[in-house]
Amino acid sequence: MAQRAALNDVRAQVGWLQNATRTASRYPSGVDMLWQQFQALRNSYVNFSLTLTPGQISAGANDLAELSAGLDILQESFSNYQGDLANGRAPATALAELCQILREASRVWLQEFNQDSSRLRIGY
Amino acid sequence: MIPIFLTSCYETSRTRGRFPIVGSLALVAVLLMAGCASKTAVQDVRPPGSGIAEYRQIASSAQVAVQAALKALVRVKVQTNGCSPQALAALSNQVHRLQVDSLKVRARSQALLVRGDAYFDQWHEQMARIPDSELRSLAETRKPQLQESFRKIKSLSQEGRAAFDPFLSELRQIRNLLEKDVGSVGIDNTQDRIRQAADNGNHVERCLVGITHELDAMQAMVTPLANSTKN
Repeated sequence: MAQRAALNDVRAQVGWLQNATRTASRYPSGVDMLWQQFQALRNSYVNFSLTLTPGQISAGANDLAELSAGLDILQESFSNYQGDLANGRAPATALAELCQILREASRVWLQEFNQDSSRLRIGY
Repeated sequence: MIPIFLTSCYETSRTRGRFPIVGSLALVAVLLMAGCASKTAVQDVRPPGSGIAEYRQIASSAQVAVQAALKALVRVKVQTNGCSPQALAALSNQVHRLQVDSLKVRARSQALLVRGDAYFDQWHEQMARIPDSELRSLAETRKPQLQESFRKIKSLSQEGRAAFDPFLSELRQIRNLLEKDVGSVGIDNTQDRIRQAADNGNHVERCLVGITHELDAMQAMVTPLANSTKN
């Protein structure tokens, strides 16, 4: 039950992150909004990991390592954004790109997450 | 505040503090737990051996993205009278695509490097569950060769990952320069950057080709002779 709830929470957090990528450009603190939402997703994934049974962890160790690595890579987009600003890129353009990359990449990550969860019978 | 022990070596001095790259707490937790987990009940339900084909597919997709980015770079390089809006838009688009389309292969490479031999062991264990006894026996007798191919893939992944970061960084900087001044394509500094980016991009592509080649070799090792001649 807790596992199912944690699974749904990760999915919901990806949804919130994707919503934030659609609205962030309207706010001066748009990037902070994205960062907070991304960290909420990371925390949610940590909580999800803690609900897995030893058998699921063992059978899915490779997949789970890839999901974690995927989050690390998604987070690199924020550093790239900062790098672009430091190189003099227009903030609005840099933010628009960050939003688009986070939106598309988090969709790819969610597909993997759903696939792995189903393979490992998580939340059943 | 993010604890300092979670920050990775990718963190740059400019991004430090605000957006540090955080090492994955989840990964640490999962890997620690994986080490002491009992092997009970749960089994991966994907068809045994499908991992090779899956990895091959994500490596090929990343290769397509790298090739497209390199092509866009060449198109920019030859624009001697200022970069055309079309060439710049194509480069921007490919820089964007590269970041998204390489996500899976980068994540797999990272997982493979973090888990090392444990990654191979888990994959090989999965092969041991193949119902076909001939295939199972092939996977067992050819374990040393499979392991050797895996080591090569691991090494190529590390090499590719090391070349990918500067490749992407150079591409972004070239795009940023051209967004500010399309005429800057003609100056030596930009041309040097383009050359450097192309070198790194070609290096990444060679690594991906090498990975695909090793995956094909692994696939052949676990394919019975009768099947391989049929195909």
